[in-house]
Amino acid sequence: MPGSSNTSTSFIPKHTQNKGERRNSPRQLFLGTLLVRILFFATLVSAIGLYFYVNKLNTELNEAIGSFKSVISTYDAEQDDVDMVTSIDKRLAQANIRFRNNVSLNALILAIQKATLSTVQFKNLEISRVSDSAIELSAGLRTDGFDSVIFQRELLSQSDELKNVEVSDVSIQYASASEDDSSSAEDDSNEITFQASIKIDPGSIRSVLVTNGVLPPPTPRPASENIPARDVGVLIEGLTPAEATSSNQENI
Amino acid sequence: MIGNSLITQIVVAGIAIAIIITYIKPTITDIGVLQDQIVQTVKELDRVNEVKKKLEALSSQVDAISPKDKQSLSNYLPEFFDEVEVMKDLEAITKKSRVVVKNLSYSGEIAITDTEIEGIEGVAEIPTGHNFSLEVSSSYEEMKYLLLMLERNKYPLDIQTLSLTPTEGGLIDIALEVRTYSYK
Repeated sequence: MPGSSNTSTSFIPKHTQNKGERRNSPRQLFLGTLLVRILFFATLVSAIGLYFYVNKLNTELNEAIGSFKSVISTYDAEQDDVDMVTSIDKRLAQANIRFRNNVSLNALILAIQKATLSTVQFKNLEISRVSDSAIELSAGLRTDGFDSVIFQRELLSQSDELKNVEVSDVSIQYASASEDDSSSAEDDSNEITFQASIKIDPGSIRSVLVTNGVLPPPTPRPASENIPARDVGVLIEGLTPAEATSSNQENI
Repeated sequence: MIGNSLITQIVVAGIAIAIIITYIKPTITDIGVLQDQIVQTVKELDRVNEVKKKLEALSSQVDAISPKDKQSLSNYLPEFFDEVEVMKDLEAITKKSRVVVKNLSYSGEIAITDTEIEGIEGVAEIPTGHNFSLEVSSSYEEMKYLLLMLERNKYPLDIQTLSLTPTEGGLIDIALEVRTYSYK
């Protein structure tokens, strides 16, 4: 527009040329200073944090120790229970061993009886329980012929209980020529003696022979020696029930 | 708050380092020890509680055993051994079997070795053995009855040795070594 001044109507602020430029100088912060401050404050915060954490841990430890002590003190009160349980446990374990290793010697005698020929006689018999796992049997036997010895050996070997048979010391004693005519007339009067040694595994005869029922007492010998029969409440194979009485065996 | 001078920075850093050395580092070590102690104590406490529970369970099991069974166990393996009682029982058995007793005596206490016993794993102590010597004369049937009666006792009467010798008249001389046991 002619004649008008641009400077008075312009929306652009006028710049006063005389006014000096004001300079804001920023505060200087060095990296080292910053690191030192961070280190210092971190140390303070850590120290405070650690202080409280240690206190917390001490409290936890004291509580745990307190609980431990209270449980231990109850143990002292329960010492009788501990002793009783330990005692019963040990006694059961020991009784169990004896019970498991029980061997029925009567069953062994019956096995020998079953495996003995009618022509063979026992001169003597020794049974020895060497340990829980071994029984040794030694018997002096007599018979009238070698066939009987061989057959007897086989019969013993076939038995489940008496497998390991060793026959030794076989000797024959001939009938004396000085005997009277009636006895010397018999050829079979020679006597053969031998020794049988058997190693027995107790496991093979551990079965209990006695079951519930009634066991008869043995047949009385002389009448003067008779003892009143008493009920013992057991049964043995091959025997008929009869009455008997016991002293200490009712509770089995 | 904190001055910017070099000396101030050095002092502040020195304080921080002193705190670290004198407090933070030992405290961290202490914390490790405390944590270990807590873990150990809690572990032991758990174990003790576990044992206590087990004890309670076992106690209730023992309580559940009937007095009759407890008595039977006590008879089977007595704590206090009385040889006179055993001899009395042996005599009763021989009478019942109708055998003629020649000798009955207590041979004494026997120290049983581990090798004699089968199945002793886990058993701290072995029962004490007590041997009795018994000599009788009997018939064969009486002998079998005697052996049965010995087996059918309320406590074990294990026959350790049995020696049979026939005599004239159809009788048998029997020598027995009988063993019974007491709880140890």
